[in-house]
Amino acid sequence: MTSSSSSRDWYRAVWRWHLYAGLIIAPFLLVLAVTGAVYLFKPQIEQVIYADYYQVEPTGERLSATELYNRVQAEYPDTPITRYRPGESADRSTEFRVMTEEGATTVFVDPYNGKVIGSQLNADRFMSQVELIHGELMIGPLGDRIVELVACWTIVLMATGLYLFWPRNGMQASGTMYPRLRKGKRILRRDLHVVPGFWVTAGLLFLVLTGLPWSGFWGANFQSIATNAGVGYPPSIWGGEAPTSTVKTEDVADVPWAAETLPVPNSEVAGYVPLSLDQVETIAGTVGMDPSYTISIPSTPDGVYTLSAYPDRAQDEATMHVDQYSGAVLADYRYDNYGIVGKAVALGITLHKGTQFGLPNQLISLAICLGVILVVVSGLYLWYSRKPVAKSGAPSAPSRTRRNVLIVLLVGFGIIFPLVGLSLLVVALLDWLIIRRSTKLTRFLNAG
Amino acid sequence: MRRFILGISLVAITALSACAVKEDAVELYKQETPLQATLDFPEVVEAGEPITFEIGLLVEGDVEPDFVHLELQKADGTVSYGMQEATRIADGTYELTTSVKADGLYIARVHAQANGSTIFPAKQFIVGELTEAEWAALYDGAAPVEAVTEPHH
Repeated sequence: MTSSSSSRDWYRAVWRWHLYAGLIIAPFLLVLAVTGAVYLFKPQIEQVIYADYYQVEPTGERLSATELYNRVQAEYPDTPITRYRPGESADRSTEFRVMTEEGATTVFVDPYNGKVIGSQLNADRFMSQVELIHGELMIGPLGDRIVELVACWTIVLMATGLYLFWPRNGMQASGTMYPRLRKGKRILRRDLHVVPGFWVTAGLLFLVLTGLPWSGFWGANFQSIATNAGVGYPPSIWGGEAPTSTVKTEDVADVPWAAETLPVPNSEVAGYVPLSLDQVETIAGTVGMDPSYTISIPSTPDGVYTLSAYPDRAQDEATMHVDQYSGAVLADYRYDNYGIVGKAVALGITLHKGTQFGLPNQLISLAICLGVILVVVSGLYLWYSRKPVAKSGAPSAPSRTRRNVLIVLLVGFGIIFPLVGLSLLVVALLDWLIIRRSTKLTRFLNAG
Repeated sequence: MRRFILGISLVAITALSACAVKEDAVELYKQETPLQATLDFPEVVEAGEPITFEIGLLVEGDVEPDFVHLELQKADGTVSYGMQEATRIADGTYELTTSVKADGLYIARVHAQANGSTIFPAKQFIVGELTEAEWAALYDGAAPVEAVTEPHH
């Protein structure tokens, strides 16, 4: 075999993988790019659609957190209040999260007069829906795994795409950096796929790599490994348990709740009482939390108050656990306390969400999303316009040697990203059990 | 093909076995040295009678606390006996004897600081008889969230 025919054989083998992976991944990638483009502008969109919930008129002194808490509890009796968010500015409403029968609900309160402005089931929020589609295609953990798989296969698509596009006779700007408009439709169709592909590859790879650490399977394991190695997020921020309050349960005041009707002896009443929300709010003020912080209220006798802030910049993040009885700071993790991988992931998240550098960050990410949409649509069009009738248009299956080398490469990739390995297994089983046993399918897929 | 499927199955199964964050991983990151305190007093407390509050302080290392105070007030905030300094009677043990004038539901709060850790745990207790309003406050479960005082410093 000459080197030129060997090269052609390789090209066809890579093309085959690029085509099939592309056809399967394309619809999902399109969904991710569209929802990602919308989600980038979450702050601006929510500011507009929830202006009535967010904006308050600062009039005099704010009511205490405890007073606001009690008013919300009066509105939602027998409903656990799990979080309190004071609000980052004087004209921002205060939020409480209550766990109603319908699910987690945000109650917006005017901190100046204590009136409940409104409430909203968290799952019903527009951006929650967008996030659900982007993160798990609205089908739960299975969707999360599919999104993760799409992200992993996108890396394969980009690698194979680069191989296919790489100019064999030296790099030229035309057909790479800009499309050739006067070279005929065939060339233009190719350029409309390749040129945006060239421009978005680095950005898309960045979005994939910064998105993967959030994924439910690979991300969770990656985070655990990093945390266990001392280079990730400290425990309890992503995975791992929060510390517990140190007071023994039997020493906690046995508060006679409303169901009781008779006085109880001092021995039952006397005991440690939890801090008030006001006191926890004061602690937040003394330790320099970002004003957008949230306080998670403990639900068990040994739970802790967790103060957390995830503002626009990763460097401003903070997670703090406070003993609910003594006010002792049990853990105080800032960005500087993350390991190197934790810092990279945190920065990756804020860059991925477009918040790290504000509008320029959002616009660059938007351009990548739009580029991805163009690459996907033009890729599908390129395939459809070139493929023969009643055939997939895939080049013939490569020789056994080529196939094995590619499979070894993909298995290696599958070890790093196990879901890819699992999907390869599914493909191999499909090929073995169905495609190879059907002449029609073998011919259509050119898999002979 | 069978060998390939077997091989990749093994790889996938091994890799798919999820790992969790180890309990001792916390030691690899920044750690706090929180101050701990216990507060004890007699089970029966009467108005006008001396009450001895004993405070146990657990400080990491051989460090003297910056302060150990006790704040005494009625739970509804109507009466306050202010902040009083507790006397050191032994390593890590402090004491304060005082009294309250009237019956009611009280809060005794320790304010202590050492090694940069500030704490203010509080215990509630009944002196004599409670009024209906005080029982109602207890029944309403107001005590755990009602603001009693601001933290020290």
